[in-house]
Amino acid sequence: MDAPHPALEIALARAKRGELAAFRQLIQAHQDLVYTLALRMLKVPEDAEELAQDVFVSAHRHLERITCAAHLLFWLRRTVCHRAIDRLRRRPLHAAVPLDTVDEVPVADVSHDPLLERRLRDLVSKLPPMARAVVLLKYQEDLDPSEIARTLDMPLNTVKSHLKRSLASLRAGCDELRPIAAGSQP
Amino acid sequence: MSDEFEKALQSALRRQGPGEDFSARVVARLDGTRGVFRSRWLPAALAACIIAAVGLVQMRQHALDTARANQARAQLLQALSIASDNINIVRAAVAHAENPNS
Repeated sequence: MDAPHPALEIALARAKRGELAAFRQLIQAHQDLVYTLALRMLKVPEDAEELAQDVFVSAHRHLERITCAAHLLFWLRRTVCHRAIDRLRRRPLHAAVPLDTVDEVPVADVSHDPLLERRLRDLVSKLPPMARAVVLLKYQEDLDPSEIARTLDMPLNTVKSHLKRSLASLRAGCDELRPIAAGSQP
Repeated sequence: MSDEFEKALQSALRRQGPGEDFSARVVARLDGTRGVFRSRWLPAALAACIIAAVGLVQMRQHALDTARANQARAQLLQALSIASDNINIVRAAVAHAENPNS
């Protein structure tokens, strides 16, 4: 999904030398990835913005340890997922999530089935944090299970198990929309 | 069905932007952080603190040395006084032995 671009390697090298403009280029290249993962994990846009900013500030501090653009991409995914899970663990169990802020960010493309997609996003947001992270890395970031396992420090079989159970849960949750979801089914 | 469902999931979970000027906000935070740590006043303040600390340590060391020197001087004077007393006693004894009638 995100093959590292030579321009990003150059930007990384310049950012390592302290050029903020180059680091800004790296932010712009990865901000959608980081922000969307944060938003879908935390559900509140303000929290997602804060977490995404924190992740980039932290990335700037760790630039010396980043070896290449692909490493930066891996580091960003890993850091945003782990920090989001940590925040969810610290968040009170019944912390209020304003309904009008969840999933209201406009998406770029025109959806084929807005009702089904909205339902899916709603169901994903209700998965337990670790399962949610696995589903997001698989279907938002298009990572394969072994990459997800490395990103989340999780055994491969646990990733597969999360994916299997989460998909079953999402399918079950979409049952009421089945005629729409299965529009192409014979 | 599985492929269609997973495609719908992928489409539902596509990335979204954080809003305008996100990168500018991050860079502003970084500038603020760098401003605190890289301000020209910070090295000066650190240098002043180090100089003051070294000065205090040296003053304390000087005070300790002076106190030790005074103590040694007092001990030396006391020792000389005792030695002088003893010499006077011996001298009186010798004089008495040479001239018992005096």
